[in-house]
Amino acid sequence: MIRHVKDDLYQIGGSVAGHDGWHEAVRVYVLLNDGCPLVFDAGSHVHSHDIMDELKQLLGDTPLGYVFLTHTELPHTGNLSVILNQWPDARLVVSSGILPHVELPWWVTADQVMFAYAGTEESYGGRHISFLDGILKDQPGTHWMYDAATGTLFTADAFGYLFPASADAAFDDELAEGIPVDWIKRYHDSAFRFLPQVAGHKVNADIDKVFGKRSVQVIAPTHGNAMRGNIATCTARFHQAMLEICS
Amino acid sequence: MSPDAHICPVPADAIYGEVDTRVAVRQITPQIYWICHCIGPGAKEWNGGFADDFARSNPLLDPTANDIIYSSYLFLDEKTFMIDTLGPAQHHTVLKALEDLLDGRKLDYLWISHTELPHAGNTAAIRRAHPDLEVLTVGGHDHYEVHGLGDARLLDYGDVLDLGTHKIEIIKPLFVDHALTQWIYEHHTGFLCPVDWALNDHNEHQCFRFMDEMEETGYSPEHFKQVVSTTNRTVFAWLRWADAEVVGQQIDEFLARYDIRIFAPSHTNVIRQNVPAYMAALKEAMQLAITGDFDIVY
Repeated sequence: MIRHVKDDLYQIGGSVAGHDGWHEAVRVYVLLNDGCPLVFDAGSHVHSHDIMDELKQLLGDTPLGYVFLTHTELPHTGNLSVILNQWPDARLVVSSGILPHVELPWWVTADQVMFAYAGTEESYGGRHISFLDGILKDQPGTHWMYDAATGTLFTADAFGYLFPASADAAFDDELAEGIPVDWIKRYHDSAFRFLPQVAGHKVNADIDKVFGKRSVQVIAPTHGNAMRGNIATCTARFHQAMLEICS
Repeated sequence: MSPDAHICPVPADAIYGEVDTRVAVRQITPQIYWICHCIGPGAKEWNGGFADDFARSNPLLDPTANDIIYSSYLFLDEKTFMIDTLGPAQHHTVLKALEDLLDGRKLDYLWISHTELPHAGNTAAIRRAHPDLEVLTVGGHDHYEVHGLGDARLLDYGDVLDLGTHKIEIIKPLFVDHALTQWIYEHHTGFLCPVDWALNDHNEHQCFRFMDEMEETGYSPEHFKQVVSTTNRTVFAWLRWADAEVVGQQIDEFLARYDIRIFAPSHTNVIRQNVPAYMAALKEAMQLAITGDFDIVY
């Protein structure tokens, strides 16, 4: 389902239902960027048909410019071949921390790949995207990205949440109580199995450093819907989830 | 034929492909094989020259050690059992190595330690070559279809696979990145596969060597400690939020529980001699990692 998040930012992609009724989103974000669209993560192969339909609706005749990967796990790259078959001139932007010969599909060619370095900002089709380390991550070569034009922080797996079917595709400001701590906790407890071994206040201090350096207006997690309503409430609930999961 | 009389079906120095497709086979025991990939000459260019950065942060490290090993393992018992698949670029060479090692036998089990591409990227290709194969992976989660493991058999901690002589036990990992991660311990040989734990780099003269063979090039437990203390800050960046003393206790408890005689991670030269010295170095390395500078860009 295509959801307009803010300005030229859109959310597409699907979700999968668990055996216990809790759903997990696998989202793709699109910045239309005035003629040179940027896509963040490629989505899952299980949602390939819907993702491509939605991308074609959004882009029309405009060719895709860049695909930014937060990291290279299958839920983030499973639809990559279909996207690059459709738009073979699109470039792939990945963290400098990944090694293509083991972490990218074998058919990706060297000239398709651009490396991004944490602490730098680059222009892609005139859009300035900056890069930082993945602060909370489950794969070493994970980076977070920030689009200053919309104030969007792309956080890969972090800030994901599980939700009941009734909340599928709903943004935080479309839910009466926002995104509950319990939903955030359910996801992070499952996705980051190391959290019980660490101190929650240290995790939260690092998250605060990221938000203290930029004016985040949208948090765009792959495994949740965009958070755009009340960022302070969302981060406070994330903090509470960390304190409850961690040691 | 007794298990210990098993003859290696491929030459001792078998290497398939080159550079990004390069895969070697080493025999660990008569029935356990190490199938491993690294770049070799040219690793600095392929891997981004990380050794210079590591050596700047720790002058005790080798500034030419730009290569990393990626490992898969194969047990040839009454049942055949493979650990992980190597990455997509190695799909032809790992399949050829597997074919030669199996020597006409079928592959019974493929166990996926976790779902990152260097570990699971050839699952579909191996399944196509061995259609009766049973894919095994980590139980206790959900949404497996997005990881390409929708029809895998799910294993829990304590489950034991009886291969014949070898008994593979699924054990709880001490250090994880991806949530869908398990470790295994094999009781007959004391073989431990702790997956991503203890990554060490190597230079082009140290490719495909067992750790005791690395020592012929000047390597030592002390060197191992220095390397792992640096690399594991990257592999497990969450260590910066952990407590060094608690982690040390957890490692002690783990090492007391398992009689490790073959230490066979995914990204470390296999340790088959002097294991206690390397385990002591590993504990110190993890504590050094926690207290070191993680150099995070916020």
